[in-house]
Amino acid sequence: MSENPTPPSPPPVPSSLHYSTEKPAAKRGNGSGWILALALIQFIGGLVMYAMMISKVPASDPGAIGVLITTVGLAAIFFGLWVWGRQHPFPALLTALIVFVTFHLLDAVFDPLSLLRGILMKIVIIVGLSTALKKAYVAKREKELAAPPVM
Amino acid sequence: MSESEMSVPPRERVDGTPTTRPEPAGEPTAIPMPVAHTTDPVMDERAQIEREFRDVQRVCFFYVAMLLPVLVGTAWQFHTKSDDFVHEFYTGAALYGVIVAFALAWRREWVDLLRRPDALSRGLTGFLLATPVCTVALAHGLGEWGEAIGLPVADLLEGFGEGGYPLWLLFVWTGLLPPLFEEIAFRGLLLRKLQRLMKPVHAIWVSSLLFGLIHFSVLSMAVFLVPLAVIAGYITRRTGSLVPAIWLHAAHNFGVLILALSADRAA
Repeated sequence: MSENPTPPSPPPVPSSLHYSTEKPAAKRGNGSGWILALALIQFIGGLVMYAMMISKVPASDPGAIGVLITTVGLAAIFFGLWVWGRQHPFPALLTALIVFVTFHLLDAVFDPLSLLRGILMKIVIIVGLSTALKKAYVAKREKELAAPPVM
Repeated sequence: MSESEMSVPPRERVDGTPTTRPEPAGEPTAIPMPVAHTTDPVMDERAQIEREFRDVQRVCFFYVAMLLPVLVGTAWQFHTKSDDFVHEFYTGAALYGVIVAFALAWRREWVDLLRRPDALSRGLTGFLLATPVCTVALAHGLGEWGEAIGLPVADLLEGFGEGGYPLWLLFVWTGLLPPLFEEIAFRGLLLRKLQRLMKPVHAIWVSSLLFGLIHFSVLSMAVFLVPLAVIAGYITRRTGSLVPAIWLHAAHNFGVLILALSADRAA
């Protein structure tokens, strides 16, 4: 009598179907979320400031319109930097950090006490942007150094 | 097999290739030579990246150093309600001093840009002639619109006429010196530093945004400052010379000045 034939080996399982017990690594952002947060804060803050001003002066007051244009314009700059930062975070973060610091220093020229208003949030934003900037640069350079040299 | 036989490795492998001769049991083994120290490539790479990142800090430091005299001058003008040319003179002198100091410290980075450009193509020449016309028109239009809706518009001639200063001083101070020093600062120093850190296109955009930012006007930034700076940056990179960018900027400033003087005389 013949021996029991060995059962055929199962077909190889594609690697995409392999079951892994390891948790997938958390998807890391590239830091541009900080710029989006700045854009939203600036936009909402600008509208609130304009609303507060027009409660005391007419809506067509040049000073109020100037404040609205400046704050909404700044929000538009940050929004544009966020869109840019989704693909290229390093230059966008560098620009956003410098824009943020510049406008707050300029604000302090006209109203020195404005530096103290929301100081904690300003510190958090500056530290966050600086850290994100460093990480974005390191990630960019590591990617460039790991890439095969162009012949 | 006895224990002593087991401790001695075989002199031949199964396939017949000889192994190293085993040391006889009982004799002391030689002290191994210390392994030569090999650099860790990962640590070297990280150290290199850290060194490169210092250029980012230098860029920020340079920008803040330029910003400080402008902020101090603005504060002085605002809080003393002074519209005299003197405060502009001191502000400008301080700013140009900062630019000269950094230009000397970083001269190897940018000094090769101080050369005549190679022969410009017709397209590029046309571009150089048309751009100031467009930017002057945009600046003038923005000023007219701002005045019409009552926005505070910067007066180029503010405090100048009352002081009895000669007209040539106005042209030199507003039309000639700012283009020279600002182009050295932004298209010379800043653009060169940024090009070490990012792609040239990104470096041009970042230096242009910072150029617009230091003028402290969001609308002007959007309408003509950033476009002028982007074009100047592109031309600097294309020609390898600062001269066309200085010409572009000077032509823009002269055009705006002439229009302001004409409007002032008409009024």
